[in-house]
Amino acid sequence: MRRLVLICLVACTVARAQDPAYALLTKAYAALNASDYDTAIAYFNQALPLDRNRTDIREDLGYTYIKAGNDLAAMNLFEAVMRLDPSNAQAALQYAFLAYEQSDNDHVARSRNVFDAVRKQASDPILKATAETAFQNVDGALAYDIAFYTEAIQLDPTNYVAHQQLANYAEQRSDLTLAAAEFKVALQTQFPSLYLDYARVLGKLGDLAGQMQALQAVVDSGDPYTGEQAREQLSALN
Amino acid sequence: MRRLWLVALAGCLPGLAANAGYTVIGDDPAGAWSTILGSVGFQRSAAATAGVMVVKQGATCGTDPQLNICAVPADVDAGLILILEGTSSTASSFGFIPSGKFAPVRREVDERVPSLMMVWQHKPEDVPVFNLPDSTTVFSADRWSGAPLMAGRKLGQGAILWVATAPGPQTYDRYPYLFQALVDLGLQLPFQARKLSAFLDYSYRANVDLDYFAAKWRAAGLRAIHLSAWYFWDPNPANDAWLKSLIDACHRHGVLVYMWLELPHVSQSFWDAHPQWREKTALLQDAAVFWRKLMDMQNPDCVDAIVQGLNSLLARGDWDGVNLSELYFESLKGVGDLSQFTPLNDNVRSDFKAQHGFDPADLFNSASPLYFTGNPTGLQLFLDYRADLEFQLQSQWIARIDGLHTRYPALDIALTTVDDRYDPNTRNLIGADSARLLPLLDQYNFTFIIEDPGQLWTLGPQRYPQLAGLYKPLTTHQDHLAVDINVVSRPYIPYPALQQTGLELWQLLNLASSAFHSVMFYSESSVFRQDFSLLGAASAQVKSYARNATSAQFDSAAGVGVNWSGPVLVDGQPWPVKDATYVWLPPGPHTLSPGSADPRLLLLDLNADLVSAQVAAGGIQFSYTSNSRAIAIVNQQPARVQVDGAGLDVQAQTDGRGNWTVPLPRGSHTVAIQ
Repeated sequence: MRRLVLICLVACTVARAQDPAYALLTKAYAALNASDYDTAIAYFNQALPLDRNRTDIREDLGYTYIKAGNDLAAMNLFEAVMRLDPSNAQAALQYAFLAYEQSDNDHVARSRNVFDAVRKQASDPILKATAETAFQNVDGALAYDIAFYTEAIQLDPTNYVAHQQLANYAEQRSDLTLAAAEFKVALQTQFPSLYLDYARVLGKLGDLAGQMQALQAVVDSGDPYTGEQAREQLSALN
Repeated sequence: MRRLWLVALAGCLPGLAANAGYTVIGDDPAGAWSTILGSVGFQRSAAATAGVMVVKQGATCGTDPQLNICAVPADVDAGLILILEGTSSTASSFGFIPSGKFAPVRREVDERVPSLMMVWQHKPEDVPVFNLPDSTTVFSADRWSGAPLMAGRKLGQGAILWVATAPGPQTYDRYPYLFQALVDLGLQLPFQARKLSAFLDYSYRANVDLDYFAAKWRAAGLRAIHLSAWYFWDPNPANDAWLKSLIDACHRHGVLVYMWLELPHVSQSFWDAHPQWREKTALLQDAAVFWRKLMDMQNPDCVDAIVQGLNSLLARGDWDGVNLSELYFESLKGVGDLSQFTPLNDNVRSDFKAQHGFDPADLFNSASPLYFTGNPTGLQLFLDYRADLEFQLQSQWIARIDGLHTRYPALDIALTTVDDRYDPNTRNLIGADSARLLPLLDQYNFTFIIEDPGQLWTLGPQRYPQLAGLYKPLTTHQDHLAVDINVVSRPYIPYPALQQTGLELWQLLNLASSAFHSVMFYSESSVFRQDFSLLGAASAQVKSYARNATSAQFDSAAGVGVNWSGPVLVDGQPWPVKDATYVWLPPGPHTLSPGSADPRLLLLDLNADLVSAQVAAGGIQFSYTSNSRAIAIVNQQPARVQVDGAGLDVQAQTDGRGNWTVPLPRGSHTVAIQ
């Protein structure tokens, strides 16, 4: 028994010595225990660059960000965990819930897709069931909204706001063909931001030329804000 | 001479942590810098005694044409906060020298939040590219050329902040995080208020540490949060536990919790469970408008069920108030979007038909000869009926909530409604009629909160004094008027950023606080993280400020916190209402001077309107007034609490930081704590 304890102690000591982040993590966890989230976050962020392949630091930092109300930072960390460890269904679910909260079309669509993947592929029955419930809630709400605005458009085809809303919900449900078609109709309103939405969906459909054309139209519109957004996106594409 | 004076000042008046005086050297015809500095409480003062000096582009000082220097490093070293604008002899003397190159600038990237899109609204401005002195931190730069736009460094007790250009035409459209940069460089903001209220959407805070947030909310200047009640409508152990934890944490830290209702939206589960009670739109679809699932509040059975649910929710939480928010008919697009236009439920249709002889649904049926586009008279009949119906609804619910005082005597009431005075067409859009509602203040004690509608945002922060001017003549109860600022993305005014932030947010809060008795905002989660800690400074209102070597004089209409460290005398007497950072003053003129020692018992925080305070035998005595429960936080466990001379059986609880929270009754009272 004594030898076993000694072996464990030596192993732990060796592990500590081999863990470059050990000292910083110790401080981070101590701060976390004291509910000093700001200090814990600072130490976790210092520890992270010391070993970029570690998912545990990212997860713990992610949960700390959640406690401190920074869901965007938490989401990015769980997304990083998903990339490093695609089998981590817990992190995937956490990412999906946080992504859904962002409310923009991209994140809602990604969130729905991750819920879908986890409900189909997770081995843990609890995570699987959680993903199933979440997927049905998200997808069900989108299906309802798509039906609602489809009907509203049938009743009043010139309701361009309804076309825009239908496009948004279609994109969130990854029905990109419908989204592109409805954004194109909504362009009748001439809002420059709609051209950005249209460009984004064209990009997802693989229509690079169409995407760049739509972005250029925004730049040419002279609208300062959307023009800068388009310029930024064109810069990323070039 | 200036340097000597500043050194002398720095050595005197210990305690006053922030010199609230500023001066602007050079032409400032539009008063841009006055607006900017005034938005967080700085007061114009003589150059010799100012703590903040702005040297405008091209400004000169002194009579020596070779120098023209307005401040020297020794001034900054002694504590001056020097703001340099563009090119000047003073800026050059500190090492901010134009390179001779120019960059067309439209997009500013702030290092604090590089992902935030900040755009200068008008055509790109050719901005000189500057060389900066060593050890300077670049706070913001042009996205495309990298030209520095805002930079600074600490120097001794003071700091220098340089900006490449004058403030923009709106004053807040450039360098939004100017004050955040100055705070990083050591600027102390002179004043603080804690009278703001904020909406809290549970879905954004379901997993946070509530104690951490309650402390943060109070420190940021919040007196109350208004919680999205529809998530808690049905009893649910997990949600009810969260609710209890929130209310307990908030009360521990001196924050009140109001129930935020969004009738006719009740809750998702109420909508799911009662399809027969759903409101109808003009297209006769179920009225799911944006996120709200609207119920038919002309249906007596529906109303009974809502009242039952409300009573259940009240019993499940120690609420401080109820906010009847947006109790109107949708939508703000009016008949421009029939898929969102309400109410066209069966009760409304039959009632209107009985009065006017036709089914209002025909107004919105394009196949009907009564279709509204060719029937303006018929449409206006229905819009007038609708506005009257809405007034009846709001009156009934105010009366209903007021009736709860028999069971909940300290419950405060608020009614939040969209403005319809600036834009009278709002009446036709959503049925709002403030002129008709405001006389209810003669009958019921509630706060009338005017929601600042999107249509007015293009008018800038100056809209608040104008808005207040439209409402004040309608009521004598002006201390019951409030404004609700929506801090949200506004795609049609995305300058300098999609959402109000930094300089713009300070001006909105500051002007709103000067125009209205109280201010609330949507929401505590929508305000950017980098803005949160300055909210209290922006909402503080100080009428006048002066200082000399031995004392400082302040005058405020609503009371204020003064940034002060150490013991203090207020009007010559030891003062017990203070924490480590602020001395909390009641309204009116007061003189602060350093004291010799803090009283043993301190009132660290009071969520109420402080009227007076004094050190008393064995403790403290203070008087206050509050339209809701009040909360006092003291630095020691109270042995005895008396209210108006009578002992109070109070359950003081510790806040976990060595301080004690004492709940106090609604109304005007005098309290003695020993």
